[in-house]
Amino acid sequence: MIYRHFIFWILLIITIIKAQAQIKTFTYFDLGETEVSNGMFLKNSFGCELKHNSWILEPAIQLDYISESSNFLSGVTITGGREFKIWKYPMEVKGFYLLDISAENFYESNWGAYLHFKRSKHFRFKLGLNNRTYTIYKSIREENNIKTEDAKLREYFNLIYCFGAFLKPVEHNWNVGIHITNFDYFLMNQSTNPIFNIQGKYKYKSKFEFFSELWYKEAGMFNISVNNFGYTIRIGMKWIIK
Amino acid sequence: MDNKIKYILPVILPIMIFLYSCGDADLTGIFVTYESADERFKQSSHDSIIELQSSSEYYEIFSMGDSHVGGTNNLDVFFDSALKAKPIATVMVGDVASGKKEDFDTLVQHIPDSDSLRTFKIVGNHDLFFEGWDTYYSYFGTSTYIFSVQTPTAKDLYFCLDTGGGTLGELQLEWFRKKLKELRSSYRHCIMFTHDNLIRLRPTTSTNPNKEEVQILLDLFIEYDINMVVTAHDHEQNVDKFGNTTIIIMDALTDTYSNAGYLKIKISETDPTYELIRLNKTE
Repeated sequence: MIYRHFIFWILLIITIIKAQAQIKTFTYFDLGETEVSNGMFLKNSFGCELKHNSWILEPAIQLDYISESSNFLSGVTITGGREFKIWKYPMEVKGFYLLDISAENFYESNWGAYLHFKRSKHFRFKLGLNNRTYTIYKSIREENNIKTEDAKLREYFNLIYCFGAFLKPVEHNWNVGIHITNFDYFLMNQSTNPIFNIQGKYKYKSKFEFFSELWYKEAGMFNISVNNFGYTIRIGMKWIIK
Repeated sequence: MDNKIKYILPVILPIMIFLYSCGDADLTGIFVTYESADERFKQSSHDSIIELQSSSEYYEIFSMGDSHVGGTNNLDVFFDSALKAKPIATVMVGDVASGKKEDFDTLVQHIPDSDSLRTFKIVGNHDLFFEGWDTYYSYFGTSTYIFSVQTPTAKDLYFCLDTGGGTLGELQLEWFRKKLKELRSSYRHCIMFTHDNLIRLRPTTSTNPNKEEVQILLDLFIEYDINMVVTAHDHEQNVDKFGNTTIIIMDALTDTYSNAGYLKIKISETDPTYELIRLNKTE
């Protein structure tokens, strides 16, 4: 199933390249630890952003080098969207699909959409909804005599959000910012589990952007009984190919 | 000033919403906790299994959550029902009080003595407010433990886990995994009790453990064939099934909830079944 998705995206990317889309690629490494990671984890993600007129397509994958999971490929995501203006205010609307295959006995699929408000020079705001489904693999169902109707668990209408504030205007060639969010490329947290990050970025010769982020995760903040959960250090770069 | 309000409002509004939803809250808990999940686990007594005996193959366990003492009317109804029906045990699945010492003092006066009814207590987030763990611990000693029930032909395993801080914590999770590996195959049925509802079965402001932790727990439920997971926290009953695991969120028992209720778990040779009982529907 996953490889069919891959082939589809590769064909789509080739089509878009032929259509003379703008292409950016990115990669980053995540190093961190959580209460449930059983030690440090190391992940690596690759993706690209394809833009043609106002249309955007962003496929990406995540690989686990060190983690609790025995799966090397742990996540696959695709986001599609469009830029537009309401009155004179720039916005983006994006729909996404995220497949998390880090668990042993089931996979997690997420789909949803969000609006990205870009009006302010120093602030960014995203707001949307996510729907999550956990599905037990067929082989596990057969092994454990699990009925098909009991193979799925769903969480609907989970609010997703991101509030970002930057020291410089967002498109400045260097910047420092802070974010409060509950989602990332390969993570859709519940709405009551925000994650905090501090990020810095530097653009070099308009073609390369280097970035670094420090993420802090808590547990139970909205229980008003907060507990440390973990952290992630991210280092990455973006490359504008075309 | 208007422009500043537009930027401040997205920050203030969520805070106002969850403060409203949390009632009598110790707000320091947003930023810092008095003790972590790992610290509470280290203090808790969880080395041995508490063994109960059932003379028949069929027995029941009564379970409730979110009594939020202060008020004790519904709590008394619950324990009166339990004393009449004589389940093998009752389990109080967190938010038993408000965290304040005087409310724990009241709670203790309403729990039947252990000779009449065996009662297991688990901490919830509200119980940790106002340095509530110190009082909880002084009365009950632990919030993480295992008990078992031996019938004439089988024995069943029950885990009580602390998610009052929104996570099991590293030590408790490691212990849970180790105990499942060590014990599960020797027992017929296995049921887990914990306060935080692990899954959001409806859009709600109540907080679950982080998604990474939920994934690990769901994997463990499948791997070790956990029959039932009983939770509270969300105050409104809900049930779903994932694999062979029935996931239950109980109604709150608090006096301030119009649909207050509790859970009756029925254990026999076949898979455990349950009955969600609402006090406003009983005679």
